[in-house]
Amino acid sequence: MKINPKVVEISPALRSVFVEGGSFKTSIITASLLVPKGKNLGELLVLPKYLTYSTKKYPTPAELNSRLEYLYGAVLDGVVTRFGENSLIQLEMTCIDNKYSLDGEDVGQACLELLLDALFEPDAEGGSLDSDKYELQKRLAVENIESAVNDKRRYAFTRMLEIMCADEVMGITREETIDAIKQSTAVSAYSAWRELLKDARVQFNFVGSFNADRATALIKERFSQIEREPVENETLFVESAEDVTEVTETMDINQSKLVLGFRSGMTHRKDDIYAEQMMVDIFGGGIYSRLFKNVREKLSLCYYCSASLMREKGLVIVQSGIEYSNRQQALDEILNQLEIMKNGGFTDEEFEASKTAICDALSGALDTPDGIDAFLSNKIVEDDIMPIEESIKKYQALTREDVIRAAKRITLDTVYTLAGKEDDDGE
Amino acid sequence: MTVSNIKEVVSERLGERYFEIEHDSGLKMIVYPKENYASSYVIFGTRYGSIDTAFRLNDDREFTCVPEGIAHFLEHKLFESEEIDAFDRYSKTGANANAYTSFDRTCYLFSCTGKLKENLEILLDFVTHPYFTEQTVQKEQGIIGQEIKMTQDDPNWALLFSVLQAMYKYHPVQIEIAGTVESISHITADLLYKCYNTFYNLENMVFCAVGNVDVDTVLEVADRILVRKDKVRIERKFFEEPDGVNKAYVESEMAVTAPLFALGFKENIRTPERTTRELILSQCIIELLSGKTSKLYNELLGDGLINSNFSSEYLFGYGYSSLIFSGESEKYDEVAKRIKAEIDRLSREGIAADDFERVRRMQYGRLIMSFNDIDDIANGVVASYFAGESIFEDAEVLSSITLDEINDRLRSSVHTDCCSLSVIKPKGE
Repeated sequence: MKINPKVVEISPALRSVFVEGGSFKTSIITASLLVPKGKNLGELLVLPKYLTYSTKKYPTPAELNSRLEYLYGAVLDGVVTRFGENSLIQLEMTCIDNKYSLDGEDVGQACLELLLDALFEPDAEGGSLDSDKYELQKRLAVENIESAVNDKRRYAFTRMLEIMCADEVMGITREETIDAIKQSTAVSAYSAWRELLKDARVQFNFVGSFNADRATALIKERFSQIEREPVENETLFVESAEDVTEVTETMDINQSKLVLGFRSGMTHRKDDIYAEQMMVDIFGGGIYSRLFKNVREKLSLCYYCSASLMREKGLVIVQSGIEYSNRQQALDEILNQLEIMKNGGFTDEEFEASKTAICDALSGALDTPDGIDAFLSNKIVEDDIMPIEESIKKYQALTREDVIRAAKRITLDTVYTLAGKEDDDGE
Repeated sequence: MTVSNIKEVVSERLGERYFEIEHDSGLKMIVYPKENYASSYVIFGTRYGSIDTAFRLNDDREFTCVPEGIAHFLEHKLFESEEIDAFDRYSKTGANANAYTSFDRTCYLFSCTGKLKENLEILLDFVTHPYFTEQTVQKEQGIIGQEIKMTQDDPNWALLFSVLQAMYKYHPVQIEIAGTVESISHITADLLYKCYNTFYNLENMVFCAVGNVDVDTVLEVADRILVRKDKVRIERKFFEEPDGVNKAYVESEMAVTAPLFALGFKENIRTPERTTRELILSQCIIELLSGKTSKLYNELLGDGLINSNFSSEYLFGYGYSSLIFSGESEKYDEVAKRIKAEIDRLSREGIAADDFERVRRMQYGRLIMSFNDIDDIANGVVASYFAGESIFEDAEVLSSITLDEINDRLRSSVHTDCCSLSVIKPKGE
């Protein structure tokens, strides 16, 4: 879908963005707050769930969820994600478009008020959040991190990042995170909430039928009680690796995981970004990629072997699930394929396939309310929201030399293996 | 141009419409244009999944029994051809192509914004032209072997199958969709052809295109590629289950941080298929029992017995039907006890009218919201078609179900003496 975002700058680092929903049946409102990671580490990991669990007006989850169910099953959720070395805290509301409400109620407006209540009127008193509810959310946050071990692929990915970025904010470990959550209290979280509203770069996305003036006025009014001092959001880019760190750990599992961390050579998030994306895509993106065709299809070494770019930190990560006895062969072949990329040994067909696939995917990326919301959220640190058509043009203009240049900047930093315990017998 | 019968299907309630085509080849084709969408999502699926392990074709006297995991294996192998495989062909168009196998269907799909006609050609062509050799079968055993090992390390996947094995004594819903490294070693090219020729006949299949699509383009390609073949009659074995569960309790160990549990309530059924009405009623029952507003959910959470990994689902298909509650808890016995007590209480006292209306309203909203994503719609169309219904049926049913019906469904389908608890404990405890 073609979109024409309307951006309303409310004050420095605070804006709302409106996109008409067209024929969508769903509307989305998202409040995104971006702050540097580290300060209030534990509190910020608990807050999004706390804020969406109950509010001052609906102090029990049953009351809040009753209200949401009455609003035709509107969904309110709070999440924290990584955005480089910053934390992106998002409160998201998804609801039906007004034209489907059975009794003419303005569902969008009611949901916006509920979302603003969650952000500005939490269940709190006398400089403290409700301590029972905060302790409950603390437990859930800790158990959530602990149970991430159950997903071995994700666990191996996270371990690799911790090792590779041990001296960087990106490398804050699971243990450090869990400690920080456990040490937080309902009082410290109350302060963290106040600081979040003061410090964060904030963007509200509206996808659907909303009155922009009325919605912006409501946001302005809520923020008028906050003394805003937005802070800078920075991320350290390490241009190249000095030497290779190899770490192998064991776990009682059937399939070993091999994860490789590379420094892309990027020095900031926009640094040669189109060439970087496409290089990674030819190397290990789609079904036409070098890793899929060689490590999986030709050598039958694995079910998955793929590369991805962590654009916000300038890292390239290769992930694969293998037999431990095939580890060296898989590693050699992955590095061999990277050398081929650097020497321009990829084919014209692969180059064209990647370009076509990337442009095709981008052209359809705005066909859902979620897609539009994600597109806008990714632009939170950018002054102008560049239309997706412009990105497509940038990809279309890329040449083989651009891709080779990007590949040549890559250096291997860390090789992490999560070895299955009983793999040695070659079973 | 071939003669095909085209019918427009409209839902005033949802503000949605699609075209249903009885193609001359015997294939049912659904073309579902969505205004303002740049992309298209297309599925070509067959009613054939992991549970189809025993079947009779036409006048066969005996049931043919095939190795576990063969439907999934066939899905992988169909992408290959004698000349250029389907992935390489898609590489030229830029489409995002994939496939999946579930308990009861196998679907081949792609999404794209450009070159719709070329992509349709690839899809319809490769799915109707199998090419299997012993050599390519062997190559795939390595790749699928790794896929199986990957899923064996996924505790939530293991938990689902362990509770199904505890509930079902004979039904093949309890076998892993991809089979085992051992079972797939028995797959041969001949067996793949046997399964293909049984289940990949166009009368057993469905096609669905949603988004930036139109009837003329679809028909132009279909008329050219699809060929009518002799009708086949498939008889699936109905694995009759004894009333009651296979085992009331099972446990195992894996590399997990805390015990995982799944509590499954098996419905004793006399006929293999469930209606849309039964499905909608069961989904409402789950919400009423353990949704975020429910007394049970909030007490379990507040008392420290469950965490955000708690979930519940109604799982049903040809010959099986069950409600499954799962999560992570040190006190899984207590959780199971409370879920059963709440079911007994609700059955005894009946569901409150207010609660029912609130949940119905919520389900209505969620249903409306599901008509945005073209992939959700396409998968929904396919699932509904194989169930013998239209995707628009859910909204009609939802608006007409009554409180008496939901209370009846609860009392007749969920029995606390017909359930299994499966627990996965951390290794070495």
